Amino acid sequence: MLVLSRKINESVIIGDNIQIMVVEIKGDQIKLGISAPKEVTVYRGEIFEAIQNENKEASQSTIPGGVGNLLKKNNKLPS
Amino acid sequence: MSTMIIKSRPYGEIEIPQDDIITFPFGILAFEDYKEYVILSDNNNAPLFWLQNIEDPGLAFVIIKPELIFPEYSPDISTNQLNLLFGNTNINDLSTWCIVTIPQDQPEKMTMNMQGPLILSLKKRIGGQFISGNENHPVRRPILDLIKAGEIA
Repeated sequence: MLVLSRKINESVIIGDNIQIMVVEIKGDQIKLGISAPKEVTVYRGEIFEAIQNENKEASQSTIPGGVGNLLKKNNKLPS
Repeated sequence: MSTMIIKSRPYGEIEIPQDDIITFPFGILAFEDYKEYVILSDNNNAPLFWLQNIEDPGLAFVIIKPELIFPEYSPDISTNQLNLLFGNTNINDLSTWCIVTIPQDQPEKMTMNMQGPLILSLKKRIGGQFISGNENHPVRRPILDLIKAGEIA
């Protein structure tokens, strides 16, 4: 991993058109400003990780008998 | 219609119409290398369905249409994001599904993932997992929370 030191209002550029700027530093929290083309998605890292972990766990699921009917009953769905 | 034989986790070897295959160009998070899926239904399990991977018979997810449980659920995904995968497509051609996690020892604690919904174009046979920008859409939303343990066979 590339590690760079930046001060407030300094930025890094990724590729041709992504800029990440240190906007504010308060205690152990840093506010980042991100400018990127609209097709670039930006998410907090932990959201990504949470979904990855959930997918891994979900991939082990099996459907016990009767669950479908319980879901229908519980949520008043037509059977 | 041409068919093919695939191996599935829930049902073993089965025959499916080739046209039923849905391609996930970017895979599913944590399973990016697996791109071809098919939805398998079974009257006994409805409203749950299987999303079975073609490349790996052992890889299958349980999925549900979230509007059955939460009619008001609408994931917050930008049109740009959708266009990147689906091209200029009619939003009415897209369907939203959520992956269901069923813990083996406590199936009554099953949850669905509202933060990372699957959006499919059944017309174009492509799909992908998106991230809802709405922070009220949890990764684990219980869907059987009123059911007591022991009621499930």
